Amino acid sequence: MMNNNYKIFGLITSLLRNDNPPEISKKFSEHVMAKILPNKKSSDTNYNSYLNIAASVFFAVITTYSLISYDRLETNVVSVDVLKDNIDNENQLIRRVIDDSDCNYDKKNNEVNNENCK
Amino acid sequence: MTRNIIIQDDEQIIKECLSGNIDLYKNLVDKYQIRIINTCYKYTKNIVDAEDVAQEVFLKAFQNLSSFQFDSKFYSWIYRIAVNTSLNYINSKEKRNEKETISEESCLNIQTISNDNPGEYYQLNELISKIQPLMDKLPDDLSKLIELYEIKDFSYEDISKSLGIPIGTVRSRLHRARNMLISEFKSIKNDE
Repeated sequence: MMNNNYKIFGLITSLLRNDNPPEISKKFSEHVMAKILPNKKSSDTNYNSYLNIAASVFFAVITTYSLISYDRLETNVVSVDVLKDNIDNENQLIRRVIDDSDCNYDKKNNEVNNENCK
Repeated sequence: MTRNIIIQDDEQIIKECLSGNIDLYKNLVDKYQIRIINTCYKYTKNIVDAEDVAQEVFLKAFQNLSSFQFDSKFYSWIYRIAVNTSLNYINSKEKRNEKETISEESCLNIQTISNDNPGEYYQLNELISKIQPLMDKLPDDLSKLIELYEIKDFSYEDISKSLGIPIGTVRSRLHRARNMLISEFKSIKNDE
């Protein structure tokens, strides 16, 4: 709702003070506000632009960091030394299990004369 | 009967503007436009130029509103801006005049800009005779308050001391006096 009370009160006090020009434009305050509001809108637009740029940079940094971290992780997993150790260990384990099985089998079937199980 | 018309103090409006409600700045422009245009008019001697300078004054005041010190009145602050801006305008105009002489014909053209559009202008001199009777209708204590605060630019504290009444009473009586003046003005405009 348009509030004319300030305009009326300004008019009354100005005339009481004899502080008035001979005439003034009816749309003066509207012209002033028309100059102020686009300034405000453009500063809001600038703020939004800065915010968008900051968000883009943030996500770019996060993505780059994630990719580098993933790449390092991949490199560690495919490390030749670790893979070789694992395979060797597994082979030894398999061999021992097989050996034990043989022993157990022999124990059951040939309890008396199995030299390997003594 | 007087309707309850809310006229906020300048300080309240400024605080609301600073907190983001910038549409309220129009209330300050509405309230002080005539006085500021008149200040500029005293320097520019031309109503069209005076309005251009006054627009710049209100724009500057808005841009620097956060630097306003609440220990002085808003009008005193914006009045200083108006004087400085008018002086800058005159200086820049004098510099322009050194380069190009304004002919008598061009001056006449400036004068006709406002006279060509009489419907777009308030003729204030016609209203002066209608304002003083409004003050005469107010009770003596209220018209005295309007005179001290709005015409002689006393602060609430000064009025409180000189009249021997609490500041709260000064505020409430001023509020009542403003309501009555605005209502009376509206009623005489409706009668016309």
